[in-house]
Amino acid sequence: MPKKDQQLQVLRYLVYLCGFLLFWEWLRPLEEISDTGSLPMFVLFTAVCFLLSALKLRWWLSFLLKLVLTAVVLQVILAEENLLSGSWVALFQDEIQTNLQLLFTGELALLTPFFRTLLFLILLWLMSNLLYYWFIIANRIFFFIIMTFVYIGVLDTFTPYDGSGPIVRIFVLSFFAMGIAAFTRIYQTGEKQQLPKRLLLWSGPLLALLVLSAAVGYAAPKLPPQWADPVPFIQKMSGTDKEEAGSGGVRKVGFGEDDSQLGGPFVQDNSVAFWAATEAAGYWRADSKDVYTGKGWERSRQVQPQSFQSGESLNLDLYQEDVVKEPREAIVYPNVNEVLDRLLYPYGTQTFFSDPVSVAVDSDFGVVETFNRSQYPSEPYTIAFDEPQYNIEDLRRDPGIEDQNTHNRYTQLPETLPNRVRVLASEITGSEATRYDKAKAVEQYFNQNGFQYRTQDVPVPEEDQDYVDQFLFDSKIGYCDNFSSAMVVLLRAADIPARWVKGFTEGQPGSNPNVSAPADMDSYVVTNANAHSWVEVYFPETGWVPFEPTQGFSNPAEFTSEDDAAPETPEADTPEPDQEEEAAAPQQEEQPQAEEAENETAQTETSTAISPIYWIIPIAVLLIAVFLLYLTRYKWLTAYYVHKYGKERSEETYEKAYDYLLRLLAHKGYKRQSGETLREYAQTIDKAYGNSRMTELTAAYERILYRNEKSEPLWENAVELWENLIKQAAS
Amino acid sequence: MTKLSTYHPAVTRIIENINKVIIGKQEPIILSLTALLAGGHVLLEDVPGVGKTMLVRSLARSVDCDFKRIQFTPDLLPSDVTGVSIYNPKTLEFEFRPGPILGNIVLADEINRTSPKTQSSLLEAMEEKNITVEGNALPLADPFFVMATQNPVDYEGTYPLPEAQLDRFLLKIQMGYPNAAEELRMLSSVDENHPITRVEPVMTKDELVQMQRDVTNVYMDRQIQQYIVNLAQASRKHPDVYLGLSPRGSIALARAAKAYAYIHYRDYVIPDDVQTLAPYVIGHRVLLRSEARYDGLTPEKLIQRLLEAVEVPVEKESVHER
Repeated sequence: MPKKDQQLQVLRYLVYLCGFLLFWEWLRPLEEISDTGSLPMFVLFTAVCFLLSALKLRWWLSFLLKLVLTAVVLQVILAEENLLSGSWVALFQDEIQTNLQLLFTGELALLTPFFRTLLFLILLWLMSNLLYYWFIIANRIFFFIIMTFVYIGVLDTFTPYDGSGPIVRIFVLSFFAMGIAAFTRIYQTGEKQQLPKRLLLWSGPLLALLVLSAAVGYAAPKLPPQWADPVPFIQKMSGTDKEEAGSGGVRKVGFGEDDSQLGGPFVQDNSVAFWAATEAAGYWRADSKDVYTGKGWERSRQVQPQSFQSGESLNLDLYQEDVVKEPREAIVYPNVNEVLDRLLYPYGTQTFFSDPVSVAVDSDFGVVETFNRSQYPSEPYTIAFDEPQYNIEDLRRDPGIEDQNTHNRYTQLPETLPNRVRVLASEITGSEATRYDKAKAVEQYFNQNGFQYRTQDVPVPEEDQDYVDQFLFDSKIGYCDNFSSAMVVLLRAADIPARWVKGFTEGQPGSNPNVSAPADMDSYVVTNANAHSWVEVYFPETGWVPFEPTQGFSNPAEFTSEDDAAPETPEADTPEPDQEEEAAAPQQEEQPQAEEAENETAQTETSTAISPIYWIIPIAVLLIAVFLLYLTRYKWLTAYYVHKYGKERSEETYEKAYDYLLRLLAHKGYKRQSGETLREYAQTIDKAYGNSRMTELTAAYERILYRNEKSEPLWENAVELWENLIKQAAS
Repeated sequence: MTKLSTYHPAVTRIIENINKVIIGKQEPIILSLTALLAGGHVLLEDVPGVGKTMLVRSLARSVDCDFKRIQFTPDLLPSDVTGVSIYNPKTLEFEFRPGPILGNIVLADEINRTSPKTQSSLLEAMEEKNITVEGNALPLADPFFVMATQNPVDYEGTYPLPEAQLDRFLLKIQMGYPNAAEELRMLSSVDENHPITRVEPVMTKDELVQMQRDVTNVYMDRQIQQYIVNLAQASRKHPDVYLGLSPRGSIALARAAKAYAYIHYRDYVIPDDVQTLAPYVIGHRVLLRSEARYDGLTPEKLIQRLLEAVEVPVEKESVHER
């Protein structure tokens, strides 16, 4: 018979393997629906966890191995500190402490990548234990299979993830697993023992049938969905947004290349993009685009980078020679984990010192590309720039006559642009005389008229809807891309050349812990949440002047006026935004930009609903941990009680210990019937375990129970008996 | 029955003594002793020839008590049971000739064959522990133990005992046939002499009385009392029962359980005692509804169900209540 048991075990492990493959399907979509990188690492980790569970090591050995494995994976993924150095322990402690605090205060969005990865690894670990329990011990697989189908179904419906491939794999895998499980049951009761032959006879046709039916199912014509798409329906029911429809994918904030499809909500990502030390804080420019398509921004031509030597002039030509400027310097420290292949630069940048990184520049678009950054991920680069000061009087005096090419290129608008945008543009700018005042009027327009800054619940334009038109007239809800695109389009509609610029805001004060910046510079930490877009308006005699239409942001560029008594700064111009948080934020005239930016970030964070993923992982870890504890409760409870009652000597000990024994035995399948006396029950137990321990233990217990004897001395004698019995029962 | 194998030493002696003449039949012997020690009486219901008389006689002899036998017939008169005064011409006085009931251990054979009048004279004596003859109250012997038998097969010309009378018997026992091996041993051990001559007393009458007194001192925890009450209540509430266990029945069960515990050399009662005795104590005290009887329910099955349904006390809860 032991041979048969072994064979049954082999079959169970086969099902368990299917369980692992099914769980893999749970991990696959993560890359697509969340910012999970290093997926192969996680899959590998899961695989080893499954294997360790299957090896049936002693629990502490398995625990230790998994712990080491977790540390190794953390090390490989995050590569923060050397695993072997002592500082790792300190880092670990530090991380755990701060993050647990965040966890308890509910500020899940602020959890560090380290901790989130750790939580995720723990989740995978627990899942491996849970599946081991389901597949090997409890021999129940159906629930997990159903859950897998539901999971993929939900992802397919509510996220951009395409589940049509995975569902076929899951179908084959799960039905194969169920087939093997059924075979196991039949084999268990059967007499014959030729496992390999019978398994082959069973699984061969099974697989063939599965593959055939999957193929037929895949190829066969299918009816279109009979139910309405649940996403708009649910949104309609919950009243999230009437406008919101179509593919409502949640995007992530940060610097990206493709702006051809704008719209929709995004998640805040507070990971560091880079650190900077600068003499003058300002926006970090990265890119500009000139063609508005009605859906987003594209370029009129491909980027043509000219190779550039460190120290050469960049010819970015953002403004004319005669603009007042001040020479400044800045150093950018990239984040090694988030290597951008672009260099960020402040307004007025003259040149880079970026040995040994080689760089190419398209000065027209203002794109500075790097080629070999990945080899020098931590290499900082120094920027020499002339901080411009725009004279408002000069801007007002600007006749606004540029060459035809420039004019045509930067007043381009799609034919599909609804006419009401043009009407609105002339309404806003009609009463203004100069190009500067027109631009200011458009910039100010968004501060009134019911526009709201929001990153969540931002609708995606529908197929036939213009991105700007939708924002201006329908939703009036959006973030920087909406505001800046709308301003550019309105200006262009008013025949003012303008373009759309991307980059980062100045960030928050804070320095890179790993490097020491020069003392005379201000240090900033710029996160992906600081990614931003704004507007540049062309003034032929000054150049490209930045404007900031987005609510809650203010233009960091310096504007001066000849009338010194009343310096016309954008801050003075900008009325307080009408959001409550904004109104509450202090906004002094001479307040440093950085501080204001901080207010802004804080506001964004509080007003942004935290993405569910941040909640799901801690809650899932907790739930599964509780579930596993519950499943294994008799294991650890027994250990606990053996320890406790082994020492305890009191009147109630015998009773409590005996009571626990009854519960444990009941859990093991020896339930005492209500009309069964303890003696009869004890005889059943002893018969099952092949000794007379229970009868002996019960005889003494009867004296306590029915003779009212003192239990303490009896317990003294019975404790060893009880321990032996309980260990036998628990094993 | 065999699971409780440790007996009181005196009881062991009696059992071994009886086993000299009765082969097998451990259960009726123990139950008879239970009734004897509890001061109750036994109704033996079984077919003739299974050793009822031998059981009683050997029991009486073992405990050194005098044994009387009354063969109940339809024409038996109460005075045949209690005794009668007869005029003695020599002394010119009426002399009382005591009836068989004035013995210690009385076998009332085929009790259902006699008239209710005669039956009640016996049953009254069993309950009152004395008899009234010609206006004089006479105390019965101590110990006094009646073992009545009745034949369940032959109903013609019988007067079945009324329910109220059945209640007077502590236990109702069935003798049962011996199994094949036991019967074989019986045949081979039959000899010339009447087997009863082989049985010698193993204790004195006084010792028996002392044992009866000890039985009353057996400890019965409140939990066990509660258990008995619960059983009684359950029997009364059961939908198939017309007449449940009377309070006298509950008391009988408690008494019997104490004696049973004593026999098993314990000075405290455990639920097993109650469970073992329940069929013998309750069986003849409940009346089933006729519908239930037609459905095949017997008192034995009913009691089995009650025992399964009523929770056995296994936790020391009542202690905390007190």
